[in-house]
Amino acid sequence: MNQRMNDCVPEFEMDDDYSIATSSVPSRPKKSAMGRVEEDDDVMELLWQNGQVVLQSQNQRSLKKPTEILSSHNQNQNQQHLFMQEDEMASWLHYPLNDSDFCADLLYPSATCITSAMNVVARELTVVDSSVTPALAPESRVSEARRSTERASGRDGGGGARNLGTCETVTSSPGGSSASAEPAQKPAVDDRKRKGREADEECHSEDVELESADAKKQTRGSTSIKRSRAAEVHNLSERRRRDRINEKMKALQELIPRCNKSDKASMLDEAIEYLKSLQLQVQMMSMGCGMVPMMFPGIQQFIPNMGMGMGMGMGMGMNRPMMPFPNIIAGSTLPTPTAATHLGPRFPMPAYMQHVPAPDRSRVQANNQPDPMLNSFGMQNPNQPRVANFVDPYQQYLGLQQMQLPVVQNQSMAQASSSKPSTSKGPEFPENHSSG
Amino acid sequence: MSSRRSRSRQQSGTSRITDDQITDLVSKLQQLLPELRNRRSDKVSAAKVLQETCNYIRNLNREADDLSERLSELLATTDTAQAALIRSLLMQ
Repeated sequence: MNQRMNDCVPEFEMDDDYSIATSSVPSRPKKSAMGRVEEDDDVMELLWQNGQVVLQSQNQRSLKKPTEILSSHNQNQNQQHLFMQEDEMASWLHYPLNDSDFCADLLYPSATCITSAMNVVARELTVVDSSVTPALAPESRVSEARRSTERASGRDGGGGARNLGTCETVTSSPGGSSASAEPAQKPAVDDRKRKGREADEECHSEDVELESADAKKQTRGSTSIKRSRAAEVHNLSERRRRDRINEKMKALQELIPRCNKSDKASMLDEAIEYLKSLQLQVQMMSMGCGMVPMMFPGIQQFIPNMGMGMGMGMGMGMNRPMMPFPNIIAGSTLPTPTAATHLGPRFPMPAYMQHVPAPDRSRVQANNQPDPMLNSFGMQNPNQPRVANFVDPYQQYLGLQQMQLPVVQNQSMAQASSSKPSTSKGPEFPENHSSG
Repeated sequence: MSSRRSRSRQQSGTSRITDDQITDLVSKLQQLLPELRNRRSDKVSAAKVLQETCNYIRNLNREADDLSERLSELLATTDTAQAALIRSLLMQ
């Protein structure tokens, strides 16, 4: 915008020069006054589309009013672009008006040259016009100037119409249109005035700058409004997220026994601990389930079933056979009549060996204990080869483990004796056991 | 934003808990969940982790119930001495 204004300054200076040159004309005041009126009308017309700036253009000098108006206008927010245009226009408008005033002041003593006055008017009109529609082509400007000057000249009846027709060329060569009557005095006055005006201009430009800064601030404000809106949306989604988390947290809290912690961190701590203990408990119980059938040599092959089935195959009870027997076992008569027939094996032995290394210790002990039982069962079994079949991997397993046996046994015994009173997850067993 | 944070901090009571700590705990929790363990931590929201934790705890509880039932039935059929031994083993 400043760039533009600076661009336009020399033009006005040219105008100045021009008005100096034509200031000797005696009949000037009337004409210029008329021209001004008309120009004002024109300005009104032109500016009417843009709203309230019109008022300002008739107020002429005051720049503060337009800023107020414009700023109040700007509160519509979404018209920033328009505002900028208006702002620009205001800065543009100010000069022509100023200029015409200046001319009027200057031209009081001067008379004759109608054409120059017309030219000034035309010039001003073109300036105003260009300010309103900056993209307007020069030709249209010229034609506009011509029209207005012709109108003026028609009203005037003066003979300068032809000259006015070429006003653009005249203004393009400002100095040479007419001779001046008071060449010596005027330049000095004009210089002074011009200086004053330049100062004025500077002041105005500062004003405009301030205004533009204001505008920028306001646009910044609107962007910050946008930003705050985005932040609001973000806040909303954040709040929703937190609400969801809190909801889940509450659900979790209900699942955790004896958790009356109100703050999140200890709640989560508690949840973690509880989860760990639950996992351990399930593991232990599944181990225990695996341990019971281990006492019976015939079903040792189903240990994997117990061990691995701990996850999902929970529905399997003693009297609820889940799976059909695989071929090996189907063909064999099982040595133990109690549990083996009811338990369907799911996994072959190797899979068990691979997947469940954890229960080793306890199983070793369990295996260790029922050793005589195993033998007795084996003796009872009429179907020896099959039993040997079953026993084979088992004994392999035992043999493997027996090297560590003393230590392991000691450990487990010590644990069994020491850990009894300190159990936290124990209560389930006695209850269930007593009930069953 | 900051006011929100301070508010949430106020909610959390006397202990000074930052959001980082919560995130840390949540990721710890996530490591305990078999379903989410293998996922990358930044892809799972806290709400999801908590939801999965709830599900997992329910599953574990049901599993534990079933297991204890089975165990009791098993132990009921076995020798009392052995049952006592196993029970003592399970108590650890």
